[in-house]
Amino acid sequence: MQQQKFVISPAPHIKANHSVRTMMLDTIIALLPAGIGSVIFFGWYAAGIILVSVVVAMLSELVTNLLRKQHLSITDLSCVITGILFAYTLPPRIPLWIVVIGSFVAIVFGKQVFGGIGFNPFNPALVGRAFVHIAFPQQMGNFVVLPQFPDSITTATPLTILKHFPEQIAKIPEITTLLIGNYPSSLGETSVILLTLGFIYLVIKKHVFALMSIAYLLTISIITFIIAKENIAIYLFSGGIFLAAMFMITDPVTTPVSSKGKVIFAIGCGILTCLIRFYGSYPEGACFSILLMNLLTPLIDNYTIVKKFGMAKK
Amino acid sequence: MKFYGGVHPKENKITRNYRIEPIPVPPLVVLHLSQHTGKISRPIVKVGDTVLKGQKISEPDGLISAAVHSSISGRVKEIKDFVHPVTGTKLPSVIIESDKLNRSIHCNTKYKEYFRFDRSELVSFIRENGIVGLGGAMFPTAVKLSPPKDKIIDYVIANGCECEPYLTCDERLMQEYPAEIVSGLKIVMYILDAIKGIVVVEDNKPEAYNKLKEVVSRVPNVEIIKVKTKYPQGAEKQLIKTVLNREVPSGGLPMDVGVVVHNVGTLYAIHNAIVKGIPLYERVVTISGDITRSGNFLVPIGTLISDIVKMLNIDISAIDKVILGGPMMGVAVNSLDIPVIKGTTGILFIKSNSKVDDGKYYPCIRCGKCVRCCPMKLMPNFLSLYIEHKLWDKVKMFSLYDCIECGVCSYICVSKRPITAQIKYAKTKLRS
Repeated sequence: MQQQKFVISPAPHIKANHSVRTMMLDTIIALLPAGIGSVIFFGWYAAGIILVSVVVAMLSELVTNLLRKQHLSITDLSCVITGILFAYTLPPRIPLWIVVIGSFVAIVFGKQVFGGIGFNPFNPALVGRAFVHIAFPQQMGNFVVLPQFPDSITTATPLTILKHFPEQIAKIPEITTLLIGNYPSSLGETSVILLTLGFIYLVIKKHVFALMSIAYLLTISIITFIIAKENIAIYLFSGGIFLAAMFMITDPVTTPVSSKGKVIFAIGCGILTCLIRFYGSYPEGACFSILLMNLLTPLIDNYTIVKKFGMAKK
Repeated sequence: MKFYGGVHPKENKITRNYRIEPIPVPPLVVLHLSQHTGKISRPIVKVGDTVLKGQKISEPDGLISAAVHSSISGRVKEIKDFVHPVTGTKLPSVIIESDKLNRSIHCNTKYKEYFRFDRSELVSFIRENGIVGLGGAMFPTAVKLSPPKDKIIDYVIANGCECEPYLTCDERLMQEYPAEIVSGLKIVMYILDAIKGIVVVEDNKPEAYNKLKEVVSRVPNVEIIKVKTKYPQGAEKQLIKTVLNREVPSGGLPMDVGVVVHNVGTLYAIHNAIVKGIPLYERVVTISGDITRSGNFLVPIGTLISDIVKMLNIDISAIDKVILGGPMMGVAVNSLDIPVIKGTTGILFIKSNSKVDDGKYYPCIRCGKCVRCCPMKLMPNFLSLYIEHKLWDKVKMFSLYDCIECGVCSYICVSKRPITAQIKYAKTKLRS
């Protein structure tokens, strides 16, 4: 009998039927409802922004992969998520060339310069967003009047009104409108309902640690209750905090690993978000609070090492 | 109580309903002198000697060691180094050629009424019969049965979890020999002077559970518990946590919390030795995988896999991976000329899954699945990272030595990182 060759590999010889790619695919599915919502609320131009952002993100990923002569990480689809998330943080009438620049910065300077997926200290989408926010403040602050909102003459988001034009408070839409998302604000962050829908899918698929998002929202609720005392619902349901709670702070790469660390991270983000909202010069603080907390991730990791089995008291 | 973490791989217990059947007498057996944890045993036969089935061929060398017995009758052909299924290196072994007569030794049934004898006498008889842990770890049973005086054992657990996919050797034993297993448990309880015996079966084996329950209901001080099917439920420390909510301290042994755990196969072997006087020279092996001739077979220790394949007429032309043991912790071997040893729970013939076996892995994305699944509550992601970068101080800080190598982290990793293999590498590296 001819000698048969057998494969040698270390145990375990079976592996769970998932990969980074399937995980990212699930996240993309979870992001879809909010994307569809944005097209309904803001028109086809919104779809254009998302598409441009995703395409540029994928191209940037591909080119850096080729330049660095590395395995094509474009296939793990993480760049698609960065593209989508970046688009979701933009105003609905942003010029497309800004989208191109931002998406490029997100992938190249937010992720690839650090070594690609798994090595980036900051959430890439938020790096892109922070960049365009500082580089193009004019365009980023422009929430133009849309034909979809005949009653609204303002170009400001609810949070801007609360912060800078408190006398126009009557112009803020009803709470139900805020929940549905049909009001001027950034693309994908408006609809609490659609975002939550996607989030529930991620929780069912066990890709995110739900307590983390709850801790973030609770922290913001409590601080808002203490500082603002009124309009709490507006503070909670407008702005970027639902998008942040459900899709930004749950990014695995840039947040602590242990459950305890994740909750500490979320509470930190909540505190910083409120500080920026109430005492900073920007109406919304979600983006910068997360970037700041990303910096603390290694430190939090160091102090939240899971207590191993066999250390319990008898 | 439940233990922390764990996973639930596809069970694939194909051979669940296949009765245990003996295989024909092999033409020769290769008896490794190291079929146990501890020192290699000393051979007491010479080339050319005639041996009987059940005859002792080597003596334990020191306390943590075990005797080996011939599994067939015949002539000692050679004493030489042979490839060992676990280490993959060549280790001393005794090769016996069959005389096809299958003559057995006279069985010593002196200890049949074991409760009339002194405990230490029983322990040395168990040692004499070469019994080791048959769940795979092969720790000499006699050592487990002689705890230091200051350790009081109140519980003995019969481990019938068999949480590894594919394997059904324990499940079949529990279905076909429940009384013998419980008898073995009673012997161990007598030796350790334990108050209570607990038989633990996973809830995916209802028939085994019912059979054992019937036996247990007639035996005082023994109870049976059904636990949730989850890997690694059968790991000693996790099992004790589940059943008794006692946590074996880090670096400690089950006896530190007053418990001794024995695999049901080991208990069956103890019963056979004490009551029937039969030493440990054969065991039930599950043969399964992507083959048509699968089943649970009573295999003489030392039988070469190539002989099993020939005798059972297994078609392996499409097979490209052979695993000794279960798919989570078993060892892949590159040749069929490797003998079955006392710890061989199964032989799996697998059509290779290119996704698992291409060896490619990607950067950790810190998803934390391994942390949430590690039954020892370690942080495998950091271990993997620090081992990769050879930061040994950090590796030790993240409790490398507490790892039980169950394979859960590698199984669950979305980036397909070979974390368990890295940990094994680090352990050997740091030892040298």
